Amino acid sequence: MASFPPVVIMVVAALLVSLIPVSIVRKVIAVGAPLLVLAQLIWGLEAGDSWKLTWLTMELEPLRADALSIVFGYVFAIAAALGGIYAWHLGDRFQQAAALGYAGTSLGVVFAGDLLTLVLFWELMALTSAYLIWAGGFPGSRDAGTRYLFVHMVGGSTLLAGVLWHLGTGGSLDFTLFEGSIAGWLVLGGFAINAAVVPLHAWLSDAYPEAGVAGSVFLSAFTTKTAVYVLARGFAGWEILIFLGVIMALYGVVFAVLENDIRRLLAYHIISQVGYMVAGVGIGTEIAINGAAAHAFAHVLYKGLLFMGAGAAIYATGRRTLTALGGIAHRMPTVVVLYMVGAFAISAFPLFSGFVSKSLVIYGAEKEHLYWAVALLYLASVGTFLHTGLKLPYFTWFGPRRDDIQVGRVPRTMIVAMFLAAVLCIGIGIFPVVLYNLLPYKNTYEPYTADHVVRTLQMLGFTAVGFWLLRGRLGGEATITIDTDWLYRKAGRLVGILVQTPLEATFTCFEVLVNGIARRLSVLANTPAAGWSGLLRLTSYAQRNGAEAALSFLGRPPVGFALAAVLLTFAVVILVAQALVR
Amino acid sequence: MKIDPRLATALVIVVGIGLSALAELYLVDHKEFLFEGSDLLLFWVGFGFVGCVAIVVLSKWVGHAFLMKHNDPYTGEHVEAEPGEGSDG
Repeated sequence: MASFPPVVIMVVAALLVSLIPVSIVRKVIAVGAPLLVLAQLIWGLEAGDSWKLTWLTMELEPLRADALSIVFGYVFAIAAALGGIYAWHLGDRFQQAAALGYAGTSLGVVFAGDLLTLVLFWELMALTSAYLIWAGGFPGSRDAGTRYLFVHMVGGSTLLAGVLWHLGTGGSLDFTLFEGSIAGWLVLGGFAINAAVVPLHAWLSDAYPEAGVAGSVFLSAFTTKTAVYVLARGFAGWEILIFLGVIMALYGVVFAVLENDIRRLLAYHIISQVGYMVAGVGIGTEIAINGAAAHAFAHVLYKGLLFMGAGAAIYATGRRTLTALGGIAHRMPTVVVLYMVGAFAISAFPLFSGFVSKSLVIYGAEKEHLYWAVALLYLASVGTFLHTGLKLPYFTWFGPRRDDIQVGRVPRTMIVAMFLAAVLCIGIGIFPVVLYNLLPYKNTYEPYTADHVVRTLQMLGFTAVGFWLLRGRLGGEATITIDTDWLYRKAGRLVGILVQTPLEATFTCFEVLVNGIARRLSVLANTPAAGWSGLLRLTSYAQRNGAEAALSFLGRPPVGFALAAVLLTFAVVILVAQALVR
Repeated sequence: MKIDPRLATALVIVVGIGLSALAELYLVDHKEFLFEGSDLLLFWVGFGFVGCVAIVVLSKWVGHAFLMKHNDPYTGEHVEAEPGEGSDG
């Protein structure tokens, strides 16, 4: 296969899907296109491949393949194919097209060799993903999607400002490491929003749970991981990212304790897991960058599986909170088992993918003697197992049997997608060398030492003991947790009061005014006699009752105001014209 | 014969600690230095348990004190326990 940007395949597929009326063809395309991209990556693309074009005076590079971009490309193609299978039951062609477009533009970002191509796909990624939230069908989906788009437009604008500043100060269009300039910080700000770096993270936990069950599977895969990729490409070794990454890892854990919505709980754990990757990028050594890439790869698969499991529970019951679920494991045992594979993978149990990827990031910190980071990242691991491996499954599926909950049938294609994701999670856990061989740098790390295995089992085993003893305190609570989105959601209301309301009032006033003038002119134009007789009537009325009474209609807004404004305008124009002529 | 759940839990904890100690003593020939104290016997048993308890207690405290609201702060409506929302799938 020729060396062309993989995004081309996905965009063509998205266009076809939005046009083709036959449902089965659309579904085949939705799964087939990502598989075609995967084939292209395996057989058609090599590290070092490039595709350039000149636009205006600029040399753009929509394709630049190297080991880092290819590893992200692989997992994005796999995630899109699995998502396509999971969403097989969906009839909505526009969601299918948006999902393909979203995955495609994410691939566009990953293979972008220049900054303008990057910005273009960055913005398109926000648009296509926002549609998946709008199409969620939940009461909060529309507003959450709009907030999501708003935040990402701010992020995209920050990124664009950084890129333009970079170019304006003599920087190159090539997307390489940034230095600590204003441009660099602006670009970092744009990337940090997509990476859900605390405190710029709230869009994620706000929006992802409002997408449809299939939409959230796609969302969990691409946005944050493209951000990890661009951070690794542009900001490897920036020390601030170590601190931010560790804060993210713990922040997500704390908020997951408080959460009642099962997919919002998982969303907080995206923030936590991406924290490991961001910390790895901040450490910036070859081991740590390998760790960030490996963890991103593993994360896309197990987080997709977890969202698929939670989505299957929501699909089958119509309920989405811990307080409304529980006691239904016996009615959907396959889903529970497959979900638990994802839970063991994210918790980094031996023989599951997280064990071989998360430890690589921590090993990177260990090698740089960042002991505080090692301790806190292990603490975050405890929290991860506590929530995604114990709390969520226990309160969603286990506990006392509840026959009052109606459990519908989960489509077979959903189960197939979950099964394939689970196979990959276990496969990577058992054969880590397959993943390690894809990483950008040569890898010598050996995850399966007796010390590492025993240490992990001890830690997670006694996390389970802690959960069991405290399970009475861990059930969901029907509350809403305030996060940093409170600031802009409240500010949004204030902006509405201070700006939108007066603006709307002004526009309404002028609209009424203009309509009034137009209506009267129309009457006069159609029946000048009527206008003339009206004037005569007015004159006789004025003779009988006085001019003030006759012209009282002028005081009746908006006609009076309109006429006054028109006359005043004429007066001003005449005065100005006279002054100029002199 | 029915076993008291508290007794069963205590048994599991004791057996778990015992097996952990045995595994650590007889299977692990070299302990990696991660941070001060991490190579002590049964350190990770304590880390997992204390970490779990600390996360739950501290998070719940912060949540109840500042963050969790029974009324939606954006709409003012009371948060319902059984939302029963549906999805388009």
